[in-house]
Amino acid sequence: MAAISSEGDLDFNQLKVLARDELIRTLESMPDSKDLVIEPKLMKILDRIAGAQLLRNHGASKIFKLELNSPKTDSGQRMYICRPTAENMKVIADHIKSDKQGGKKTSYTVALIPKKMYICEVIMEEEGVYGDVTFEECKLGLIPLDNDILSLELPEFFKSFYLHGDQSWISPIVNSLINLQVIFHKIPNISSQGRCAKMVLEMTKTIENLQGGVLGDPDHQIGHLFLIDREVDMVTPLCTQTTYEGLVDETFGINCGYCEFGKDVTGTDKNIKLLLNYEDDVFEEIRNRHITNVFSFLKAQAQHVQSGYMKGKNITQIGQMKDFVSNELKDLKQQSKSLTIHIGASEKILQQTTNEPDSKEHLQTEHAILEGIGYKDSFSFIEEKLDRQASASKTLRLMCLLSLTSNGLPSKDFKTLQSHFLQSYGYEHLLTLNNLRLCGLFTEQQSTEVSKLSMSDVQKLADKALKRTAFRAICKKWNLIPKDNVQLQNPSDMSYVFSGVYTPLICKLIEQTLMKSPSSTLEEVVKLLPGDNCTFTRTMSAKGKGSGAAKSSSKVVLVYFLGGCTFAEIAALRLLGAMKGYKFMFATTSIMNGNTLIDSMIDNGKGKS
Amino acid sequence: MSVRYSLKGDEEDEGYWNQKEKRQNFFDDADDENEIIDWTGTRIEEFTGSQVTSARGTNKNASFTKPSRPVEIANNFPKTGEKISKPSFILTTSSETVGTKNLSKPTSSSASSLESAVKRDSKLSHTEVSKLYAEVTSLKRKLQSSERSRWDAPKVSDTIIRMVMGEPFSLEMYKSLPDKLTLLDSAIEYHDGNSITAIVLFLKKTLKNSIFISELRKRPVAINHYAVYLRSMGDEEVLASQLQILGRKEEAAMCRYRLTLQESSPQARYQSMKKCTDSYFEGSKILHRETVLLREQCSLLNKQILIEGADSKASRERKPPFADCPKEAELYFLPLITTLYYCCKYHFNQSQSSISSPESLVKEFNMSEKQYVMTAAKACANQRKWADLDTLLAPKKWIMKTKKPTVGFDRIVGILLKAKAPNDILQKYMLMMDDTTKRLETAKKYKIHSVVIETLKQMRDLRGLQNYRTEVTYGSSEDIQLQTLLKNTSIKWKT
Repeated sequence: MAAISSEGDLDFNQLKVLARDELIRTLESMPDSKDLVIEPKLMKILDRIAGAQLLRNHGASKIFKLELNSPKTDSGQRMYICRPTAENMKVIADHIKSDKQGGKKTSYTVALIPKKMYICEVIMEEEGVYGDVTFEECKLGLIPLDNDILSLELPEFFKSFYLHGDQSWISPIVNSLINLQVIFHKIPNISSQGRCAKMVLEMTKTIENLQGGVLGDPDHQIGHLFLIDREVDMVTPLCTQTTYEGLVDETFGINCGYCEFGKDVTGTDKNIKLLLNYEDDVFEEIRNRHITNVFSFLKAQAQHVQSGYMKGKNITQIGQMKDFVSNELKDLKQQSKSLTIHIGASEKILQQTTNEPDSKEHLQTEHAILEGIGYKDSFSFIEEKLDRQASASKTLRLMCLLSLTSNGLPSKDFKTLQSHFLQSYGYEHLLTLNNLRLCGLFTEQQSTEVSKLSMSDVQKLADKALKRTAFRAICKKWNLIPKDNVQLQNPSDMSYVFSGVYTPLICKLIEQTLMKSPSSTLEEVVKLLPGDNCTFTRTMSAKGKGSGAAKSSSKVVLVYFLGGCTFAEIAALRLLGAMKGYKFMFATTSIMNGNTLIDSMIDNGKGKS
Repeated sequence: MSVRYSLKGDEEDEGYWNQKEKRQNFFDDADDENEIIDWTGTRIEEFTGSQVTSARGTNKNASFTKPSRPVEIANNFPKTGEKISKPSFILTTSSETVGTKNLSKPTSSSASSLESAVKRDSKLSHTEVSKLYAEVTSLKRKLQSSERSRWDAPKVSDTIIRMVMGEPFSLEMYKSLPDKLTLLDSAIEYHDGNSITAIVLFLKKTLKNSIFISELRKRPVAINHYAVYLRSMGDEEVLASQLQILGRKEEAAMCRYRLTLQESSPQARYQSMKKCTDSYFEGSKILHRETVLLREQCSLLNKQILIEGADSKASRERKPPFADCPKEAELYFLPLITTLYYCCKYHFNQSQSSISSPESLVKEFNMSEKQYVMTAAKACANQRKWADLDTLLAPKKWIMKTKKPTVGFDRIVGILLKAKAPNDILQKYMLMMDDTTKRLETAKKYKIHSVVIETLKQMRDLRGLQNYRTEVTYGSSEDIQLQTLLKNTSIKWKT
């Protein structure tokens, strides 16, 4: 199982092959021709793994989206591919019942990604269609989005775990971790931070114990694993990212690696969907750059392409021409297509910051909040933004940022922002604010009457208070807010991903752990972070004791974000890796940004809670 | 012993025995079937066959009470034994463990049948017979244990592991409360949400509601999963009432509130919102703030109903302010600020006493000056009512309260730009912007030349003025303005 390519990268292609095999196995579990009904959210995931042709090669005759109405088709076999949610099960049950009423004889397979949940059976039983359905598990776990990013593509995870306390997804995460260690061998060093990370770690140990494999493996290809809760740093996702990739995600939305650009970007009358990953040379070059450093490169590249075309014009001999057309021209065309889009996209991004009258102020306010200066100005800027009914989710980002960095707002300020928000966007958003409060994103400073509390309550309160004043203390201890100007063109500090204003906390935590900073400072900070911290090294298996421990793989670090990560964090760690000689690989429940985070919290009483 | 035979007559626990009786009949049917098949085979096969039936009988007990209590196995045994007397006799003679004492009666009655059987098969030596006995015993044991493990509850820890590993499992056999709770607690310990949900639903199904609730209340994680389940089933009514009894009053109240928002008719929503506030929010210390806000929402809806009633009538009758422009959308459920905008748009200059006047709304909801001025300015700008805007922004009003205007002119200019106000209006308000750098920047961006020139003059920036000449059309009024300034020697330019 050689999974390391020449550069020392892990080969995620193997995961893709396994995922494809699993999909094929699932499809073949229902022999012969059948209709496929796929949950819309999963379309892109399946695209990344297989594509329609593969589905057809394995018996898919017609492909439908899972919708309320049963697909109109006469095929005698139908396979549903969906997440194991109650909602999906009910829709499918309705399909089956209406098919039966219509006198259709169909056999149904329900393939659940990544596992069958108990409620699936409960609902089918209750709906009286349990006997009509064959359940199949399609164990698609981590999907390779790029040559260093794996994702479970579960954007709902953050809300379900942190807001509702739903632990149903812990087991799929654990399975993904166990599978990774089957391919890349047992990871010897493991660090975790946070509630969810602790659960994942404990369940992993339980299962490893059952399977009898807790020992380290000398062939390990990943030296260190970090399991980190999103909750550890909620400030980062709320900040406006300033790398190209981060901004593309915030402006256009990257979904499963795909990004759809509108007509204003493509300069044609069509939208273009582009796969953004390392295969796109232009993108690979600019993705981690600070936005101010993108245009110059694109310009130079455009000139380069132009001169390439010019070269073609000057060719006189037919042999050279043939060579040019078959080799260079193809590349040039590919490059110019990608250049057009990236130039268009960066233009649009820059335009946004100049055209929107207060976007500059917005960014300034954000920076002031992070630095902890000018609280009053920031507050009144937010208040005015609310009163003007400016974009709700952008304003909420600032509100949450202000609350997080001041460890909850003073009662009076909290109430002012609360009522102005509700007055501008509707009182029903009380539900939204309630969600934000429960997730600790927008909170009021507690004023508790100490006299009424028992001793243990006081202790708890003191601990809480300690954690509450944590943000400033951590910033100070780890210098998260650089005092000097940070180089944005040739960055040497991770904070460049936020224009040198803030260093993503999780990235700093990883740096400090790997660099083995004096354990006292590490402990001091870790104490202030939410959830437990745990670091341990596996005992090596007997055969490993003799062999040399120092190998390149010990520099390969896997960071698993539980609850989502941002492109800014990925860029920061890529930089850290380049500077310190580490190779970072990323796994996450999903890629997120401030907009997606806030949108997941929004509830105005319509639809499902 | 006779007491043990008479199942019905037992005084210890009526329900227990009655239940067992029912099950017994069920199994008896199965036994009959077994007889037909099994008795056609050889003797040894008969033995095993009968063992199956008797073992099943044993398990009838096991499924009701703690497994493998020899007394009860014995209790049950004779019933099946009577029906198929031969095998049961063999069983008892060959095995001491099943409780020979209890079975002494059938043994004596059928002892001769074994002897004659052995005699008939005269070819079998004594050792062979004892070998067979030994084999029978061992097979019997194996069967008994496998049958028992099939119907008995397996160890809780085993079942939990099966659940966590995603293997098939069954919870039906866990009848005792401690077992059920151990199941739940171990699932929580393993952090597996899917198992927790499964066990919670099992408890819900098999426990009396009061016990279910009181046990769940001790386990917040279990409540979370129960709530997730109810939420996913889409019945918020049930969710709210269950959360209420589970002691999560605040969460339940928010659920109830959410339900009121499903009402699509304004009057119905108003009523149900009021009711919800009164019954689930009012009086709660933790929900005090929410209560205030809900009351506000109720008043707003009430106000909207009143205004909408009057205005839609006026609009139908083409009366002012809808004489020439009929009302567009309905006012219901719009946010407060949007309602204020509506009032500014249609009822700007109405007296404070009128219900639809902006002032009355501002007063009733205790809105800030800032909220009012910005919303009113937007309404004026969008309707091109420049005189009204002037009155609104006239400094007189503000001097009374504060020195600085409530809303900076940069904001007003922002509103005007968005409303695409004509240049002269923009010019006028741009010049009121305090921050000259910002003013210059904005004026340049939107090419309001006279403001640029005026600002540069104020900043005494000669170089800037000279450079700006290229932007201005030759001979235009701005050009003349610029030329005059450049010639003016009384200005002390910055160097």
